[in-house]
Amino acid sequence: MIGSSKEKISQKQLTSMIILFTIGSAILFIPSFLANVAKQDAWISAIVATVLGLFTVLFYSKLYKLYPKKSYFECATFILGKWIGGAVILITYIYFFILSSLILWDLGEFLKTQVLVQTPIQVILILFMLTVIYTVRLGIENVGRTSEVFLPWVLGLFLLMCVFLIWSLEKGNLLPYLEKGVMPVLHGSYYLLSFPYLELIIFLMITPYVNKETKVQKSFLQGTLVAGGLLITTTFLCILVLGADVTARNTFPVYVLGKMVSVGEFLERLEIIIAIIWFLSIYFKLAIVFYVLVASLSDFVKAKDYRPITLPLGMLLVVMSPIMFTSTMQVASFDKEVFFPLTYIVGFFLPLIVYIAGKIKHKKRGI
Amino acid sequence: MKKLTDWVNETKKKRENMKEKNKDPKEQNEQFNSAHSISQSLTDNLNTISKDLGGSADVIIREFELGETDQRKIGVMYTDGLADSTTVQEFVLKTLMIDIRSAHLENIDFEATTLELLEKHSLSGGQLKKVYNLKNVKQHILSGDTVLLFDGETVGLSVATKGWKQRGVEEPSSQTVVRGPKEGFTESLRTNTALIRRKIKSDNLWIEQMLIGKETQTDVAILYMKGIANDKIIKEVKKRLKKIDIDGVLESAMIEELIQDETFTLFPTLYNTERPDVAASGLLEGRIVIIVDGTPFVLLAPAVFVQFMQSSEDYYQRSDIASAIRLLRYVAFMLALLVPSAYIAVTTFHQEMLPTTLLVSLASQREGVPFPAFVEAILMEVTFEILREAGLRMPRAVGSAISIVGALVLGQAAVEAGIISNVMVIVVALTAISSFVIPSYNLGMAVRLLRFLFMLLAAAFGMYGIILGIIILVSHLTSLRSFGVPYLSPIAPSNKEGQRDSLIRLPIWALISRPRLISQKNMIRDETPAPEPNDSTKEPEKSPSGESSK
Amino acid sequence: MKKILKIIIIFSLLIMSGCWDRKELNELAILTGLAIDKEDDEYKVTAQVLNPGEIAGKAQSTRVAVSTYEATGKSVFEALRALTITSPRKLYLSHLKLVVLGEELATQGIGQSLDFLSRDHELRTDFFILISKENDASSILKILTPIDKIPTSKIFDSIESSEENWAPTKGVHLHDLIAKLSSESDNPVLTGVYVEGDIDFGGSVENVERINSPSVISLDYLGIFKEDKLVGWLNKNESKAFNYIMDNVKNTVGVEKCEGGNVTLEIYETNTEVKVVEDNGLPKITVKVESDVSIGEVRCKENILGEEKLKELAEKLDKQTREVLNEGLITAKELQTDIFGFGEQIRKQNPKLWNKVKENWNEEGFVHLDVQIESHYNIRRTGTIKESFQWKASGD
Repeated sequence: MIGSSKEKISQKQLTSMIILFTIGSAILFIPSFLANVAKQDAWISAIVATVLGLFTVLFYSKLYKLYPKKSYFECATFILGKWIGGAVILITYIYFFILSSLILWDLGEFLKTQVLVQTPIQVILILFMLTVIYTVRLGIENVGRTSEVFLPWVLGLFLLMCVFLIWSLEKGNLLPYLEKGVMPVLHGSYYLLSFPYLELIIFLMITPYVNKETKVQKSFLQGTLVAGGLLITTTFLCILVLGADVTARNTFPVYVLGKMVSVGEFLERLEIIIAIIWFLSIYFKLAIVFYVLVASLSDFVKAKDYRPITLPLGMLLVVMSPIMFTSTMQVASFDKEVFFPLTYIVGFFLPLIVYIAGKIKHKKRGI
Repeated sequence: MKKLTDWVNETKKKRENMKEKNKDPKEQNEQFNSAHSISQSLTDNLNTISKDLGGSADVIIREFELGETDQRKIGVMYTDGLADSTTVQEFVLKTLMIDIRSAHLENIDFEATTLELLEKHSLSGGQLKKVYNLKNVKQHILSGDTVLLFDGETVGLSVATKGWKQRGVEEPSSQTVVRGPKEGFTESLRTNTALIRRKIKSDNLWIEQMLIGKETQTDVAILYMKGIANDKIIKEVKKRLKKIDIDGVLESAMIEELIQDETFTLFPTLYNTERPDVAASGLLEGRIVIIVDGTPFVLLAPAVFVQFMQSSEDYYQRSDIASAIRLLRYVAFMLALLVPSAYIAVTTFHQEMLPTTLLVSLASQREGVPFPAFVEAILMEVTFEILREAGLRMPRAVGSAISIVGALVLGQAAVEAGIISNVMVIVVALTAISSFVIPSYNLGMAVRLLRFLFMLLAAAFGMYGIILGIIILVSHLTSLRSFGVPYLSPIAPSNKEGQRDSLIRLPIWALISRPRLISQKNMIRDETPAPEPNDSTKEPEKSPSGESSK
Repeated sequence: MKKILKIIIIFSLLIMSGCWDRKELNELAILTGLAIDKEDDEYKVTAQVLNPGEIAGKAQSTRVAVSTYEATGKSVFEALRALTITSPRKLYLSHLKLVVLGEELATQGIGQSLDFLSRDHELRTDFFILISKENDASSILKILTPIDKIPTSKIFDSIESSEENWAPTKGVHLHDLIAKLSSESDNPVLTGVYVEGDIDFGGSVENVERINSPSVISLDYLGIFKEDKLVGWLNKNESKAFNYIMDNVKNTVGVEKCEGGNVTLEIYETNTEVKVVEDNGLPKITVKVESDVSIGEVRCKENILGEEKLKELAEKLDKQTREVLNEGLITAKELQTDIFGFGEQIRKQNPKLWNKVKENWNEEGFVHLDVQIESHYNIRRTGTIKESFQWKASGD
């Protein structure tokens, strides 16, 4: 177990963290990603990816059940030994680090282009990071509870948004189905599966805190299902309201969706709702990743408390993020060429190796 | 936060140093104060006491001889004003000086000491207590009892004669209700325990009492329902109370600050009330009530956030209406917290959020206003806070003058002079009214302060700042605990049973269990079945024609 | 203590300096209308800016409620930034209601000037795009209008209300336009706007001081595009035909002859279905219009409210509609531009067929497209009275 062992997360808190994490930064980018490759069938991609995502988290919960009291990193060293396990941990840790810088980049990108255009990106990031540092210092249990407070807001606002958009749906935008065959759809699913479903591997670092072992699988499935539902609905709405072309062309189609709301002349200009949903979910995503980063690092150096390293590591991220990612175009190609394949390695192949090795170990002991 | 704890430690160290320095004079004092025990000589004792109390004018010390023949000396001491003079006259002085002469003491064992004699046969006062040392003697005298000392005895006798002028039970001034009991706690501890006892006649209501305050020697009572309250929390409360080492306790707020979990928060983690019904319902939910002598405000622990948004009247109104009103309070809470900051954010950062017509009308009002919206808002909010504080401390008669000055001079004139825009006045008014809706005064204070913080964030980063502020605020709230109970329960960690009575209030029959984290045992409190429409009281329908013809 | 101080300093530094994006309301020039013209190789941008004090303020003078500023530049963005030289405050684009494109610009192609509109973060998507007919686009923004002090908001409202109640206009939002421009199977249309009366006079306050304003802004019918170039204009009936086929009609009126006069019908609900059928490897389109109408005005000599007569009337209407729709169709075919999005419908309903015919769609496929028009009217209501009082007065 990483961090402080006193902390306890309830099943409901785990579920809400999974939901918020999965929506995370994805909700703003995914429709555009999918529409780029799958055009008007983006929503089918989303469904396929979500179904695959459900299988992925089912696999994660199987992995968890091998050693419920151990975090993923501890599992890896325990099962694969110090060296191979260490390699797995190193790759995964680097991945988490890149992930958190990417999240920061996403946030900066959005704010810098849409909301705070003149504000230096460092200020935006420092402010956000300080918030995350403060809350992470309060413990993962506290992050869980906070997620419980915010989840109803996120879901409620999302529902509100959907209701307001009912008036501007155009079902013709969905036609024709599968115009270019199945491949573009699967291509889209390939993206969506890695971002965000395979990123859920990070929860295996937190699951040892959950107070009821048997409920973890339920949380995983429930969380993924709800978040997947939200992502599918979002993509669906984007295609229905904006059309595949506009969705693909915009960087933040969901934000444009918010701009489209116009009900009875007074309920309009509601993109702030989208911004709020997104801020909250991306905050939780970063908080969870950041917690895992600091807690496992402090665990590695055998420190008693992870709190002292929050500030240095946080500031490192703030500095690294703009250095690693310099432009929208660069991030897009980085995503495609490096990050998505890496996600598949970290989120699928490595855990698979750990799982198989663990099973063999179990069997040997069983005999 | 860590720095703050450092600071606390530093002050602690300082305090210890101070103690060490003070040690020597204290020892001298003790020597000077003569022995603690009561000496055989009555005159000596009386002299010492008189000296120790500095010959205070209100302490009355009398020395006289008992009976006609049996010339035993006896000393009577009490504090004028604290002891009820009729009780002292009737039951102590008269008994000792007059009645005892006519008493037939033939059958009584003359070998017995005066003390025993009086204790068993003569004194008709209600409560007698033996005192064994001078310190206690003084304590009893100063708390209103009458103390008898006897020549040749090292044990004194204290008669309960407490009785002083006190305020009667009146309607509480801080938490008023339209429907519900109108009585309020008073400054007297005994009256207050009685008020609660009158509501809960159960033998499970236990009252423990202790003295806090080295100089003030204030009575503090801890009330709880045995078998309902969580034993761990009871123990914790007692532990924290015992730790208190302070010279004086004048109000329960001082106790509150000394025993709360977290000092560096704006939010109250103990509930205070002036209403016996609130205290009683708290007890029934498993909370612990702390009553401090000398103040009508009693403390309830543990306290959670939702409690501060509730009024006792919520339970005396229909549940649907009460729920609606509760939700309204939460809306008001958010308005009071966020309206000025949202206004700043929208008008200086996110003008695209406003409909064009609204934007134009706001912009036209802002024409010619010399300050940025943020300064304007701060100006008005600070002015309002000053007005409120002035109105609060002023005698009632002057209060109306302040409201006139506030409304007319500051509001209207500032707008007409073009210094402040009209909308700003509306914004401030809305926040002010909303902040009055929050039932708890101390939570209201927290909101007042936080509002300024949010305004600052909004002025620098717009909505982004506000949302980050909200995240930090909620994280802070979830991290708070009151005697181990998470402050935001039953919302986070969520608890479906508890949520029946948090943001909304379900009908009483649906509030089956007590708050889980607070009570933790004997959970079921209500087994009334839901009222059914086909109750037996309803008359079976007879043939309508026969009835209606009449 | 020092640490606390440090945190406070960092925090206050962040906050005190954090005013990069702050803009006070009274520092903004709220821009509601934008006109883009092409002058030689440069873009001329005209911005209509509100004067809030004159619109909603307490002390309103006789000064005008809006002012316009003009600047030229190599791109729209550059020209817009060049406006800061003349404009007293920073232009604020979020409340843009209207973009008027000059006719000359439109005939040369509008694609290039639209990029900025969709790229800039301040711009929203809820403004209408119009084409100025005959005049410069900038002149449209220079006319003061009575009743509504903001001319652009007058035009905005006219578009919305005429779209709802009259049918031959169509408000086009940016993303619709872009979607159509980028689609190979669809072509856009934009509503035209022009000034009636003296343009120079329209800019003075006198224009709104008269009951009958000498110069007014008037909406015209639809300008049709081939790809991003304006190729022609539809007249009233053709515009109506367009809206019928596109299922844009919400409410309109139709006039039908009868004995001794005519009868005007209010069409309050229409539903158009476009179906694609494959016929010998070629697409065949069926447009089916189904309308509910009520009688709005009767000027006939005879009683037309009998069941038989009503049926007759409905049939006449059907025929008229078919004619009108055909008229529009023919115009579009003559101009060789598929403004109805038939190509898009084929793509949606039969992608394989579309792949076969999409080569040179506008010039060949569309021109030779076989379009069947079906129309059906249901006369449901007769208004607040049944039989006209004229029949009794004149008939007996």
